[in-house]
Amino acid sequence: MSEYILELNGITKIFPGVKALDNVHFNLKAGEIHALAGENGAGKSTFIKVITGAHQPDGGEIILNGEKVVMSDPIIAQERGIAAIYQHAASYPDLSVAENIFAGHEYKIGPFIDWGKMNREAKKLLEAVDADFSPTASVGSLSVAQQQLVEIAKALSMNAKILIMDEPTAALSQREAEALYKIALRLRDQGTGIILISHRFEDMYGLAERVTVFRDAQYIGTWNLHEVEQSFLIHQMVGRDISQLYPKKETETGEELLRLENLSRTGFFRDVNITVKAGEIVGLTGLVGAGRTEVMEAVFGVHQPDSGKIIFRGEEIHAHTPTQMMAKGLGYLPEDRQKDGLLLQWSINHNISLPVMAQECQNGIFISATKERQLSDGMKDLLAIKAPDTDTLTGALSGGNQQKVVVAKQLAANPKMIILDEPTKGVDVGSKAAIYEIMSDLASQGLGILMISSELPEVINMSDRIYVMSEGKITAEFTDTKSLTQEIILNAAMPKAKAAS
Amino acid sequence: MKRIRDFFTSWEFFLVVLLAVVCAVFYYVDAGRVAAGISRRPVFYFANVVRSMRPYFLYSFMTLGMMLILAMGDIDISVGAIGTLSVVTLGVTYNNLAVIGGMSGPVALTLSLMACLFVGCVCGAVNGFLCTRFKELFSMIITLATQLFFRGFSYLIIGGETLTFKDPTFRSLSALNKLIDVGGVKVPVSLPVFLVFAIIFFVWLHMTGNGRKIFAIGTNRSATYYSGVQTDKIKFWCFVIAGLMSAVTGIFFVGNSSSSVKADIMDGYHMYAIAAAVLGGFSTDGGKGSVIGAAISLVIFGVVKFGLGTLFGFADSAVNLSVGVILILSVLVPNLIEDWRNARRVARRRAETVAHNS
Repeated sequence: MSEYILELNGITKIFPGVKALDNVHFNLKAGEIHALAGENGAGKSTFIKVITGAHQPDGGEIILNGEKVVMSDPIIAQERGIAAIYQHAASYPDLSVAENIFAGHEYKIGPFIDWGKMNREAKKLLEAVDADFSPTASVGSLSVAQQQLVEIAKALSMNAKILIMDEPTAALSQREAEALYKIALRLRDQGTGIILISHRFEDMYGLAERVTVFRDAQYIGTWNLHEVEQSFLIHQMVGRDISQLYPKKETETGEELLRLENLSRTGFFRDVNITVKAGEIVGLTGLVGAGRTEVMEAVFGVHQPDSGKIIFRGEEIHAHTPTQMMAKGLGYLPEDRQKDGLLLQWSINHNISLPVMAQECQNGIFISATKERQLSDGMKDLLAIKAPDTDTLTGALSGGNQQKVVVAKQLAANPKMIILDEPTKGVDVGSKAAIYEIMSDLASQGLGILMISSELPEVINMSDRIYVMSEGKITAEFTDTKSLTQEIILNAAMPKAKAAS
Repeated sequence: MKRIRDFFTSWEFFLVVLLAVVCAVFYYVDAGRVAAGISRRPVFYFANVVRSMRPYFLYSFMTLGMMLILAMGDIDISVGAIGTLSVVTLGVTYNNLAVIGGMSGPVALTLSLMACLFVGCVCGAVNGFLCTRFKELFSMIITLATQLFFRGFSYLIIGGETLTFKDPTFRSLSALNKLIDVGGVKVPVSLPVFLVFAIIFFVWLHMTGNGRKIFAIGTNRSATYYSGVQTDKIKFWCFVIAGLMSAVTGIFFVGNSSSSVKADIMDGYHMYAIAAAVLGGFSTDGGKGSVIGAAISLVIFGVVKFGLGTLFGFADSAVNLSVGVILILSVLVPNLIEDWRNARRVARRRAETVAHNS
């Protein structure tokens, strides 16, 4: 028997229109934490789904404990001791902790659930992960960190020998993350093999022994972490020198486009003051859930603020809708491109024309196919959208090209300012650079850009000015982005009460 | 070339073929019956089929309204009840104005018809308001509730009674039931009226920006909203129009059976409207469908019902069964074709990969 409890050789996965994994390899020892690194869209998530049986590979083999297996179903993977916990954990928020832990393998007396035993066993498992909440609490009432402990307890209840942690700390505070690491290390020492996916290099270096890098669905290599530098890893992940990624041009700023004065919405954000000028790229960063998207949705008219002023191009805005704001010259690129940005079943052509149907693409009330085509062909050339023609369905495009179509939708309306919410989320490296270049070009043409982003490197390298939000408030503004480090921003983004304790 | 292929693979083309097949089967069965001496002369001929379609064109107006709702990914099962309440309004208003109030017939009838259409719009507006205000509720649940409410309201107005109309002016509505001569063929009045409406709906849904937005809402409401489209406003007005079309159906219903109106009439009409729209290519998922397809579907259902009823002597319930079978097949077949196409595409890529790797 080999030293590995899990080996994957030559795994290939094909979706209609895209190759998500191309002949990749991976192996895991018992009692090891093995990091899996790569840019968004490199194929990590698909790979995890192959391991957990959610996707069937189109090629390659999975060897578990020396035996070739077919994970035809997530249940089979579970039975063989593979468990996964994700960034957003809660499986059944309305059920109790114990019910969640034992979902699918409840203790029963005959056909009835043995509540007493289930709650007792759940309590033991919770103690094993240092959890301080009751097994009868409803999972929806717990914090994200506590929910993740529930997921780990669930993994333990199934005697998981292989635990996959997919960005487990992305939504956690520093202290919560450290507590989670302690448990991960303890499980490792007890012989569990752990696959860790994290975009934070400090996580990888602090926990893992080895790292495997994927890039653009391909296997790049596996290294011992103490033997390789961080810059080497970045180079492997990105595939080229990172300095070329950010083609930020220096621009002159013009008139003020947007001014928020003490903008508040109860439960989401309060006393937010932000300004954006023409020709400027303003970064708005912070942890997930800090209220960044909510502020900008209030500006765009998706929700109404409770108090404070929104002044857009010198005019105070009241009780507004997205339709009105677009007419006034504001564009908004939503964070969830597939849900809010595009009609995936529609062509590029019809997506681009939708926001400006009445203004640009009609003769009277009738659609003019000619005008529509002119508009979308122009946008396709301008933004270098890679597709055979504008009749291509947007659902068939790569993440980066989909994002370009969403940008095109905004540009079609000739905006004076655009808000970009996580513009490079889930976008591959090449398209990232292309999107940065588009942003830079637009700013130099005098557009104001506000970019919401969690990716600190892009915030630091693309912004002229940076606001940091934490728990619904602006906690810092940086005008000199040259000397800025990720640590300084993170410090401002951390919730103050928790950081102090 | 692509256009020609698109035409022959389109759903409308399939429906035309289906209609032709159905007609051919009935035609030969009919001829066979004559030859075998079972019946004395053929019944399945053009003029006779068209004439007999009269009752089926009642649903057609509702189907047009239902198309709007389905295109947005919603469903409206209150349309039958709206029709009832509109008709009850029509009858009660007329009786009060002309019979009790002594107003001259034609004026009273005009006012009553306006009230009827208005009530249809109001009912649609109630649906539209509830569906846009409470987005977390499914339109199926909302319109299920309003269906009970509208029908209950009809009972509240006339109770279990049957409204009868002996008044000659009111009975002139039965002109809507007449056959008129169009180029030598006698057709029901509802047919040309339906065609006018269908053309209006076709132009609206398939040729204007507003119609495109209706399909956009059904494809992805959220993305459409973020595109600056006033999704709630459009949805509200579509429900109003659906209500209006129900009232129009109601008026033709009175024309067909002007002697009696009860609070339980037009029950289940929503099912026929949904069935015709779905066979026509509309889906409860929203975002697709064509007016032409729905119109052909209405004809198919009409022909099938006529054929099974007169040639095979099927009872109405058995005819409904066959409509159900057609409907299930019409939903299944495109899905199976799509699955097959996807499987082929993946297999092709897999083959390419193998070739590439080896």
